[in-house]
Amino acid sequence: MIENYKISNSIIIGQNKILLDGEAVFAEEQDVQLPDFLKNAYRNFEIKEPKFFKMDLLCKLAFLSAELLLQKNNIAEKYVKDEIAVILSGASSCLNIDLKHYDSIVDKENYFPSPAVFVYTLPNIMLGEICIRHKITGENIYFNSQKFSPELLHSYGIAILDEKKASALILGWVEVNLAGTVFESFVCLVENDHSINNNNFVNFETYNLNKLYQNLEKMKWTS
Amino acid sequence: MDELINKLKSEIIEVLKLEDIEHDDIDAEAPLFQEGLGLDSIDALELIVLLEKNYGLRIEDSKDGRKVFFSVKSLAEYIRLHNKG
Amino acid sequence: MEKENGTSKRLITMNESIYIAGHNIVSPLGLTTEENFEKLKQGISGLALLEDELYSRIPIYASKIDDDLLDAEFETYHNPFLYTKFEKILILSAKKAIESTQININEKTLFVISSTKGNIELLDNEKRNKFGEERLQLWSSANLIKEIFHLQNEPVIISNACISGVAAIAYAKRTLLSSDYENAVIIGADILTEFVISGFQSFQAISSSPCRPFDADRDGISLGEGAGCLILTKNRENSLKPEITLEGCSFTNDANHISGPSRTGDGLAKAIENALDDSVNVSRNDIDFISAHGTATPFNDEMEALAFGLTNLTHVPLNSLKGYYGHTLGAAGVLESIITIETIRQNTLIKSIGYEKSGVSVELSVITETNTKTINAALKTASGFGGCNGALIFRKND
Repeated sequence: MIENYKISNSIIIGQNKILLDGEAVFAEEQDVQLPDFLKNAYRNFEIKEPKFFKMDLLCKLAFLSAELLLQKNNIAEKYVKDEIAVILSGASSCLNIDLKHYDSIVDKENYFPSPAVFVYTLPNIMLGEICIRHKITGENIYFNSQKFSPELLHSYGIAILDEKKASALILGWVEVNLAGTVFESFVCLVENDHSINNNNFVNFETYNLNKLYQNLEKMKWTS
Repeated sequence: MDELINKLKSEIIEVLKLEDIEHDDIDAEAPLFQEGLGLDSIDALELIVLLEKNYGLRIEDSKDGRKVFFSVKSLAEYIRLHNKG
Repeated sequence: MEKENGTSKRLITMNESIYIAGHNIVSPLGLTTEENFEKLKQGISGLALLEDELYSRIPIYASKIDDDLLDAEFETYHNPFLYTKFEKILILSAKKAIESTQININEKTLFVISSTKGNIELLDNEKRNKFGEERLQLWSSANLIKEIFHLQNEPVIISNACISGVAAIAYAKRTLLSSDYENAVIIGADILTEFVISGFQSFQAISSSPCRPFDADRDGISLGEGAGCLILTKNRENSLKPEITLEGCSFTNDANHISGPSRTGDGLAKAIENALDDSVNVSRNDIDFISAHGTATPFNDEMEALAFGLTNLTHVPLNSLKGYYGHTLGAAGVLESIITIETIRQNTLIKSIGYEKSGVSVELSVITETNTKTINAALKTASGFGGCNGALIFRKND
């Protein structure tokens, strides 16, 4: 029997705005830099996670995306925790924090590599932060691609859902460029039809993933 | 000694990114690990870097670090003892 | 290559077998799998004292590929001056693996790349000026592979810390089983860099001697560089002989700490159990060999031992290859899987170099002498920063 899966919730963060299920829930002035934007969003939503401040920008962005989604629809409570998979992707990997680590070792007169920085020099750490926060113990994978690839995420998501490797997904694209000046995130929750009561949710399909992602593009024109 | 303790508190807050902790929240004699600030293994390694970077003192083994970093006060005492300047 | 159209055309062929068509390893122990396995049988390690300030301020034991030997071989394919070391080992291992098979590279061939840091050495300004800023991005390596092998589809890149290779193999299997792809070429690679060495030094995680997995005197990791290319196929006629199949795959997260291994081993145990459940033809009692992650940090090896205890696999002959190769990060999962496959094919258990006396709380069956034994099925495990764990099962199909 072919199962049907739905995108139950989605979040878009970009251009200093946050859209949760299409609704603007937070915005800052355009001149606010990413580190402050993330900090201000954290405080605005009264998230209590002291470790947030230790995270690099990529992890903060991923953490915030997952946090707001799960505040709205806590799939970590609905599903067995080892049946939730986290599938994220991005273009720049964690180059932003890589540069910071590099800067700490490039000057031999001022050579102080920091373990708190180095630990973030892997793009999958953001998956780890989400898993730790929500006690999710299922599969987690990070794909690197030049552009957002709905086909890649959809085909893999479907494969593991069909094979019952996961019952629900946290899936999407989280990107911070090398300089830390350009950032965007599109993350969604995917669930099995049977678990949801809402017929308004769109099908988990490449077309719909792409349509939701395009809201980021639209935001660029309305800023 | 008090001056050094105050300086250390500021440095710890900054280096360990303890954003929601105020200077006065840190009890100089309270344990830094397990209870108190609840620091973890990465924080311990960061404190080793702090000690070297700001005070020129090197702890080779993180196990020795446990005594030195027990509290802000023990850290200040260690610095006092080893810094002749 | 997915079936578009969402609702009714998804191919689910879970019972189809996935065979190993071929493989190749590029490492300090050789530029082919044969050379590598021969050195392992002779107990020769690639770890040597590295005294080079370009890599580390203090001498460390590491496994480094000789640049001249690499370039001499690479030159038979392309101009070595146009590529970074990472790109050279990535391309070379793939070229040689493909050459060793009958596989045609076409639109039904999936390429997967596994790496933690790719061309990270290009953060250096001089190198970046030479190769261009874009080459710093992992996806540029995918573009390069696409160009060199004249591919129609984009290679997929997976970067998942030390389980990247295992995750890439699992990804390839699942994609083969749910699409029209016939073959998958999985290349895992990472190079030695000051970037990574300095980071692990800040963790005080680098051992003072060649690393000693599971040993009582272990005191940290040794790093290494290398590339492994594994080719999977759905077509039995393209399989290696004796036939080896990729059975169950699984990965999990500890949800505990981003760098510290779990203190219970539960996450890895779950990955192993899931991989066993995922294996139609292999049960726990069939596992004859374990290729452990065994990085030789006090906590990792203890965690793994606990996991093997929880899964009742402590009696199974086990080794870690980190004493031969060092920790090759994004290459490890692929490179070590290849050695696992050869262990099965050649019925040869390789000694776990660096081990003398147990230093873990669960008694394991660490291989102390290279010997021959019939091996029918094997388990490969891996764990990494971010709390991830992975497990793969390989089986001889006779």
